[in-house]
Amino acid sequence: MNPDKRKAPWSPYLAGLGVGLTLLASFVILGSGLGASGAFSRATAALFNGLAPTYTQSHPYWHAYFASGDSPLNDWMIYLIIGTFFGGLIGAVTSGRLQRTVEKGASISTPNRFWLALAGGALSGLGARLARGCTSGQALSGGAQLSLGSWAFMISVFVGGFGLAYFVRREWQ
Amino acid sequence: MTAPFYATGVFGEQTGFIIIVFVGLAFGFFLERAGFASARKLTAVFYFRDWAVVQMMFTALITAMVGLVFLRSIGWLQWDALTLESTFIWPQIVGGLLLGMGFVAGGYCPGTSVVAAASGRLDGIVFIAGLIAGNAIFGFGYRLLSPFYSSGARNVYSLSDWTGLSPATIGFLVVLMALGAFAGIEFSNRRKAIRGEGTARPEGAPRAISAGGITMRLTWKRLGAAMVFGLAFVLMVGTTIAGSNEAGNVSTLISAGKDQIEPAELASWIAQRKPVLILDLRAPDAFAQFHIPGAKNMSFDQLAKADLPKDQPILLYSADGVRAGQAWTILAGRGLDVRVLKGGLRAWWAEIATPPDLRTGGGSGQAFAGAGAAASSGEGAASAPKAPPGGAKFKKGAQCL
Repeated sequence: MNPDKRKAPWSPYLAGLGVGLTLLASFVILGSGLGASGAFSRATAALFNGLAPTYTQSHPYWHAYFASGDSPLNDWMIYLIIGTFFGGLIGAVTSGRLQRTVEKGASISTPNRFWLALAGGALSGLGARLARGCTSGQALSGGAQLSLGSWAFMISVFVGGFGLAYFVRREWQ
Repeated sequence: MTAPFYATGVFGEQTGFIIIVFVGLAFGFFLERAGFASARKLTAVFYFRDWAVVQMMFTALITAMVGLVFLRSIGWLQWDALTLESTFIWPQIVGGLLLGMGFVAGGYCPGTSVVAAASGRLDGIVFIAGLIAGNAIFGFGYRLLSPFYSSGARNVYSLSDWTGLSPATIGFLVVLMALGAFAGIEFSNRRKAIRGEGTARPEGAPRAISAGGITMRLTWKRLGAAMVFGLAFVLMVGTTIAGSNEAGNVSTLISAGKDQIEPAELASWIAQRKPVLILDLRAPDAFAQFHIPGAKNMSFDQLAKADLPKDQPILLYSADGVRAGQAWTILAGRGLDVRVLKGGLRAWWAEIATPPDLRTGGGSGQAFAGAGAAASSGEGAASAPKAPPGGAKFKKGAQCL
């Protein structure tokens, strides 16, 4: 993709207005907000169900995904994440930002960036399960509902991020 | 027709799945347009370089919040029928810290990693593999983690429950806070732009034009921000007034104490099998998940048309008592013996249904409701909780978010 064709990102206020109206529409039409981490929890359960069905279906946490007798993947959170993926793809194609690349600072090697991405993903996955949601489901959707726990979560995300930022600064320099 | 449309039966589950794909498309598109497929752009906030994450998140949050508060205040949105986030304060704080650390180390949060993967970022794909690993760690450690996972439980507990201020007032304060943050960010961005130009002007970049470009961009942003906040302020002021009227009605009701009964008194009525018609005014979905034993679910419209008995007390309840209070004002004029459950279902929860499950419950919303109903049937009532309906797929609950 020719970098010259890239469009600058929108003003964060405009993009935020778009996400906010999407979230509001989701509440009004479907009664629930946005969410991303739940899909990965379900995908994990589906993965283990493929490897060890008996274990997974009697697991104290994952069993609930099989309660309806359905696949854990036949759920609104999965459809939402599929939509998010294609929405992102449409956005990337139309803005000229579709590019096979690795996001990192100049002073870190690609393998090290991958290890940190993996570790960061694992921390996020674990954190999102403990908190019952991530930045989309908990901070944004719960925050708009003015839920106390969601606001505590949101503040904690920034505390955690700023707290660790110094130690991984080379990753982004 | 009142919102949410899915819970009020405007369309079925299959249609809902199609709609949610479109919601996702819009979500992903706007995240990409914000530039959030880039880990460098996202993490720049933690190094005070680019505040787009904060600007975007708070704009989205207050847009949705203003809409929700407004639609709720005009009575068009059934608040109880929404999937409301439950508060489990300790795991949410610790989970937030972990997610924040994962954010700055991994470069993404779960939603943005999907958009990153979609736009070809290989590190986004690796991050997703990490997410699966984190979920697996949670699953394998669940037995150890579960007491902590269900600690600090408050069920649905909002900032207005916590502070005693009305949702509209809280909303107003949130808008003010966001406005202050945006003003600070704009100020620091402008200072940086001016400083940057003074020290490291790119070769051949004419000073006047680049300065003009900055001014143009700031003006455009300011215009957009002013529009959003103007709207937010108008709506918030309006709903604060509407909210205080509503509170006024309810306080009149509360002062007439004889028309209210305490949760404990209702529990003893149920235990003594005293004839009483219990009406649940929440949405069918919420009713199906949990209700007071023996209660019948009724909407406002049904209630207005219903032929209600005059020879036995009628007990109304809703989630927090506001809607029941409104219904009381409709029915009390008809010469019926109408009472309202003091504090609504929430008070029933706190006083009658909750204590045992905090120690024994598994921490899921389902276990919560189950244990709660078990507690209330311990009071002598027989009805067991009904299983969630098929529509429960749209209920995030604790287990499936």
